[in-house]
Amino acid sequence: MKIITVNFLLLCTAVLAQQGSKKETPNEQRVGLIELEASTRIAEGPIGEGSYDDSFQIKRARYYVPDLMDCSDRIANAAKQWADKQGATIVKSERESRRVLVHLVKPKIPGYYELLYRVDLAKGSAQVTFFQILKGVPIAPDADPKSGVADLVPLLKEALTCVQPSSSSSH
Amino acid sequence: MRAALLVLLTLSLVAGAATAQDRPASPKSVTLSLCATDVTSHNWSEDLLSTIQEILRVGKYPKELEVVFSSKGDPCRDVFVGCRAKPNGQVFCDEQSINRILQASAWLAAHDAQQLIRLHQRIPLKQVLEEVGEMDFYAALQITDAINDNDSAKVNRLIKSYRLSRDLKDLVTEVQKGDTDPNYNPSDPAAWIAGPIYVVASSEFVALVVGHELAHAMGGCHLSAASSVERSGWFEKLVSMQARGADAASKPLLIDEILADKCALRVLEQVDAGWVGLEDSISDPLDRSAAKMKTHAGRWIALDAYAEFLTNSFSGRTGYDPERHHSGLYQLGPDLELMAVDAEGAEGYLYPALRLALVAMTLHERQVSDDPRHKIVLCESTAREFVAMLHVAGHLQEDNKSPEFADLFGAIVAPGVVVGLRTGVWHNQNPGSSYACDQ
Repeated sequence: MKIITVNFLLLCTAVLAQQGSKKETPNEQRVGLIELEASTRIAEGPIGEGSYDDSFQIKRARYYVPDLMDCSDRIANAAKQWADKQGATIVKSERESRRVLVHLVKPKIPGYYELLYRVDLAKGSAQVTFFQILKGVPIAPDADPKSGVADLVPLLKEALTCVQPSSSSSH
Repeated sequence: MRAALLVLLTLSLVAGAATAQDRPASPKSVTLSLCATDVTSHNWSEDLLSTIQEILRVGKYPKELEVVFSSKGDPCRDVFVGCRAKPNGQVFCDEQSINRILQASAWLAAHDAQQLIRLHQRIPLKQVLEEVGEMDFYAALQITDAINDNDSAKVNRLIKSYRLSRDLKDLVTEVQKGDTDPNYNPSDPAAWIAGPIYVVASSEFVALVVGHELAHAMGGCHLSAASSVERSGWFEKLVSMQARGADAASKPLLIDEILADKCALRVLEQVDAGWVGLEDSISDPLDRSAAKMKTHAGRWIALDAYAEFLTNSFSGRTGYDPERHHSGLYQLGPDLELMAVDAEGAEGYLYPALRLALVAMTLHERQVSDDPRHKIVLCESTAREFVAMLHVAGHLQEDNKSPEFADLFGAIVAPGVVVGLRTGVWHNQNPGSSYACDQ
């Protein structure tokens, strides 16, 4: 019984730690649009969908990048490039070592978009996610929250898998 | 507009509860649907059930699997190319391309049988070629396409131009009857040879295609034993070669596709071991020798068939986008027809040339007979495709050579291809073709 209790507590701790910045508030709804991962290893294990994927509404993929680098600048640049093209506004931008958080709003699109990039060079893994965050905002009839988001995928993919030091990228 | 058509093959595999600890829980059932957007005959792919059952058995899939074969009657409305799968157990394959490749495999199997039966009768090779002509997979595909276009004049023209015997078509019919009816007693002795060749070819081809998709559909690879190309380091070497190549940043490899390819090669190796082991169990030396020749021919056709699946099978089809599939026209010599090849394949996948090389290595590794000449290599039209893929992908130098690739792939290509890669000199016509299997 003790073992079960301890394991349950450990599980709760692990789940909370995993949620981190993604923690939803009671009225908040997070809609996954893009999730791209990069890894320096092709480890045996679960195999995801082939050829197409709809678990994240736009794109979900794992890439093999043997020489993974901190691509923070390129990710931030990709977000800005996409925002400029889509008429979106960056309302929040946090840049830390090996982490980028950007919030964007787009006319007619309810809520806001959240882009989060993290890289762990020691583990050889990086991830970038793009969510739509809704907070009880009524959806405008002519608004398509996925509109234009597909254009962000190639930008993020190329940024995530950058092969040259991020500092050499343009800002 | 042609009516959309669901052409059966609904295969439900009810998996048992037991799964390996290092694998995610597999879905309880797998449904494989072959979809077609036209109403042409798909006689060959419709007979796949027994082949897939054999793959499941020999490939050491869970014994608790229950196979249920039924047609839902719902049309597959999506237009797509190749196959796709989801971890909830759904696999979809484009039926037309599968059927076309199986049909061509049957033609080549029948032709191989005609040659083998004559060689077994000690008829000199020159006379054999005069009697039954020469055919490679490309020729088989040309005839297949003409048949499916109901162009009998073209079929006859092709049979004449390749100097094939007139009874070859009847022999293919016999192969199909044997494929659908296990109790069928063929009248043509060659059918007793052609049938087994086709069964080996189709099962190994389908093992690769279905093995890849089942890895996606079951959420992981159920075969844990590393294949020969993994053990030798070739798999990692070729993956690394592409992952560190010029396109690495813009076209990174998808981990799920690499893992699914790895699984498909394991499935192929298991199925292949089953066939080779079966022949080894025959006690009579003459019967064993004959059985080995049939298996050898079937394995070789499987390699040709998979090459076609990887490269050309979708060109000209609905939904084929040359821009997206990075195809290019290729002509190595002035006397050789233009080939449309898909050099890069789908984005995120290993290049078709590298996937084909890994399959060739897997089949090459296991020698069926004691004769060293009976090693599987890429030759004839499949070697031409292979070289074309290297060319279109920019891996050959301007003078059509690449000593680096000659070193890398020397063991699995025809001897003349090695010479061509080293010197840049290519001979396209028989006799003396750079792509001939034996020299």
